[in-house]
Amino acid sequence: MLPVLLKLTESDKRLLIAFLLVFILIFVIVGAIGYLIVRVMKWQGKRLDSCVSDVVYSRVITDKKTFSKYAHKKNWIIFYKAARIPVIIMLFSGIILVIRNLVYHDFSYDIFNKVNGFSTVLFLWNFDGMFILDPLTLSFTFNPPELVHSPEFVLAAWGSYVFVPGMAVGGLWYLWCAQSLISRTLRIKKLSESIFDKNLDKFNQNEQLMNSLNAGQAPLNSEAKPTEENKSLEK
Amino acid sequence: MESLFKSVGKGLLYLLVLPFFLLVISGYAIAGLIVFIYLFFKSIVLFFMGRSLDIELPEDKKAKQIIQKAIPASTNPVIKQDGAPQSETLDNIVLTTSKTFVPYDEPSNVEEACFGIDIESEKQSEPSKEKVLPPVSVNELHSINATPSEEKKIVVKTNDIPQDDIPLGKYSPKKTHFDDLDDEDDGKEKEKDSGVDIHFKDF
Repeated sequence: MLPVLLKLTESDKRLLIAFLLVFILIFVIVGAIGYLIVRVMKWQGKRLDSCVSDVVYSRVITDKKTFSKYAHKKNWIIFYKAARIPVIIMLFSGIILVIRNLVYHDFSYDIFNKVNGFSTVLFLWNFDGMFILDPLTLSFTFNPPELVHSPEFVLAAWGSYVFVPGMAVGGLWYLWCAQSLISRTLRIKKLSESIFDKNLDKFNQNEQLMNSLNAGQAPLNSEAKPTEENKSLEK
Repeated sequence: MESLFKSVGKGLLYLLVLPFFLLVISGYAIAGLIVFIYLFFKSIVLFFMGRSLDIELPEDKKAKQIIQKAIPASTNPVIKQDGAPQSETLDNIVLTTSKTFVPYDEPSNVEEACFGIDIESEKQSEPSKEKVLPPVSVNELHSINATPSEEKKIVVKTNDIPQDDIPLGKYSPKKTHFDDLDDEDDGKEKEKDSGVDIHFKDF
């Protein structure tokens, strides 16, 4: 491998560095997106607090199991209320497609076809033969993709024009609701552990006992010298 | 450089976790759909029973009751704005000015507690609510306070109060400070007959 690398020309080395930089950039972008998703999920989870705070403050619920059961019940109701609109959008889109198929008597309809499907309003390219890499000579050629189809409005494709955007919007909205559901579930788990936590990390029974016994007195192992006032009192 | 490596590492980690995350989210989406259908039919049943699928559970109602009971007993001024102890005699005292009369009553609803008592609607609903009390000077007030057993209605002489003390009232866009200034000419306006009156004050 090393002799092969040594044989690389200057342009090949530059190309490899460029590929490496592109990979690093992709990882950085993915990391940033992941960080954003984590922050959004934390924000979504925090919204549960306002719904369950009253029962915790008023001590209606005093144990972990009851809290978890109550919070999960509430979580599902919140999800149901939030997911109604995207489900209605998706149902409406589905009904439109069914009506289209009934009107045209065509139940084998491909919604993404180029003739009367959603692809009629899209740019389509042919990506075959775009990158050609010869492993023996390490030669790399790049061919620009060929434009196959330009957007045009076809009236017969009205069903797909309603169905595809409707399903996309409704589906993404529904996934957002599902992500909120996961966030709240994680928050419930965290809260049920922290609210009713009985932590003994900083508790020392002996220290408490000694403090109560020596209240108002100097500790037994105190090395403090007696003051003049104390000496007079002792006499 | 270190932060760049961290970002790249996180990106790699998220790429590895991404399939599992998608699996979890799709699992929750399917479970959510099943629960959605169940809750949909449940809400239909509840609708025909005259109820609705409410987010407020029995625990919430109980918590609400406890909190509502706790608020009047609290002396915390943040929780209860009028939590300070009040003497019995001062309950009968109403500070008034010559312009407006704003008696203090317990707010009957949340809107009243937040935005104050609507003076105009109060006047319309109860026009003869004003208490007619014998005049007592401010100096006499303290001596009367010392003997709360006396059932004596007290009022502070309106003339003793400086006119700068404008009582708090509900803000109304119809009644502006500019209108208050024009009230000085109320006596003159009453003498005039009704109708269109264009009055140039400075001329």
